[in-house]
Amino acid sequence: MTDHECETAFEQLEGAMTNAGLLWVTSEVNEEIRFGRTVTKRVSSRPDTPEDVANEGLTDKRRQSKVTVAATRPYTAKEKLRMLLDSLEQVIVETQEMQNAVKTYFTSHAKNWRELRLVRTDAAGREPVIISPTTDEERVRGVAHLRGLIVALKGIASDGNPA
Amino acid sequence: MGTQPNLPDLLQAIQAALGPAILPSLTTASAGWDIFEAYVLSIILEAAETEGAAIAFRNVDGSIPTVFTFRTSPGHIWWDSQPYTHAEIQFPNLPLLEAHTGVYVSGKSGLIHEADVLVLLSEEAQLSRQNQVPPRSKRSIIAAECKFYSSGLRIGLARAFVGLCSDLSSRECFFITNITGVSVEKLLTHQRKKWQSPVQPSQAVAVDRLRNAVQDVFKDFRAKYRL
Repeated sequence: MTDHECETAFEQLEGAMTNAGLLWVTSEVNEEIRFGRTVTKRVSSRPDTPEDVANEGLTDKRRQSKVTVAATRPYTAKEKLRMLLDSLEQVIVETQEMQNAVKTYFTSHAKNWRELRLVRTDAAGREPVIISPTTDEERVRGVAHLRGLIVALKGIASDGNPA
Repeated sequence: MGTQPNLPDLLQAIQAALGPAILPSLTTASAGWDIFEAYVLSIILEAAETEGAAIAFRNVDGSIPTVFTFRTSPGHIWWDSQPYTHAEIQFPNLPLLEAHTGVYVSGKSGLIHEADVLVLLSEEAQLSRQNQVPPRSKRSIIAAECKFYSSGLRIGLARAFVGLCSDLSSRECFFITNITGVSVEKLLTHQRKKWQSPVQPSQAVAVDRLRNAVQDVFKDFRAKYRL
C-alpha cells in the first residue's frame, strides 16, 4: 500500500469507527499519533564550542562525544493505519475474548449463575455491562467476521511483511 | 494462491461489520475497563486455585449469588446499594481471603486510594464492613491497578502507579495493562515495580506470566501463615 492509500484508509476507517460510537477509541489513537513514536537519538552531549574560544586539539575530542536520548518522531502513514487497526482489534475482538474467558471461569465455578453485572456508579445513566452464561451467537459471528477483515487489511497494509 | 481483496471493498466491508460486532456498551471507554477488571479478577482466582485454594462467591449481605454484581467504579467495601459480590479464597488451614473489585483502601499516610482488584484478609474486610472504614492496605496481599486502553499507554499512568505503591503497604502491587507501552514499562522497571502486559486472551505468554506472578504471591502467603 502506498502512503496515500494508507492515509485514505485511515480516514475512512476512523470515520466509520466514530460513526459506530467508537469516538473514544479514535481519540486515544489520535492522541498517540500527536505524541509521536518514541525512539532514541544520538545527540552531541555538549553544545558547539564558540569559535573564539575553540582551541584545536583540546575541544575537538569533546565535541565528538555523543549521548543517547529519548525522542519522538512522527508515525508513518502505515504505522498510523496499523495502530488504528490494532485499537479496533483490542476493543472489539479482545474484549469479546475476555468476556468468553470470564464466562468460562464462572461457568466452571458457579452453579446456575444467571448473569454477571459490571456496575459503574460514576458514569451517570450508563447501563451495567452484562456477561451472561449463554452465547450471543450473532455477535460472536459478527466479531469473527470483523476479525477476519482486520487481519486481511493488516496483511495488505504490511505488504506481506509482518509489522 | 488467493486473490488479494480490493482495498475499497475491504474498507466498506469493515464499515458494515462494525455494527453487528460492537457491544452497545463499548461505545464508552469505561465498558472496556470493566470487562478488563473482571478478566483480571478471573486470572487471579485461577492462580489461587492452582495453588490449592477453594473459591466461593458471596454478596455484601452474606448471601450466595446467582447474579454476580461487581463494582467497577470505586466504592467502599461495605456499600450495599447493590448486592455487590466478592470472591472468598480459602487455602486449607489458612486465614480466609477475599477478592474485591473497585474498592477503596487506606494507605500508610492515612489517605484513601482505589484498588481495581484487591485481595485481602477476610478478617480485615469484615472489620471494614462492621466499622464502615476502608480496609488497611497492610492487611491486603494483592492490589492490582488495571488499565484498558485501545492504544497509547501514557507515562502519567506509570507515574501515578509509582506514587500509589509508595503509599500502599499491600504485599504486592501490580500494574496490569492490555497493551504494551514502552515508556510505561521502562519507568516501572526502573522503579522496580511489578507490571504485566499485554494481558489479553490472545497473548498466552503474558497471561501465564501474570498467573504465575500471582501464584507466587499466594505461595508466599501460604508460607507466611502456615502453622
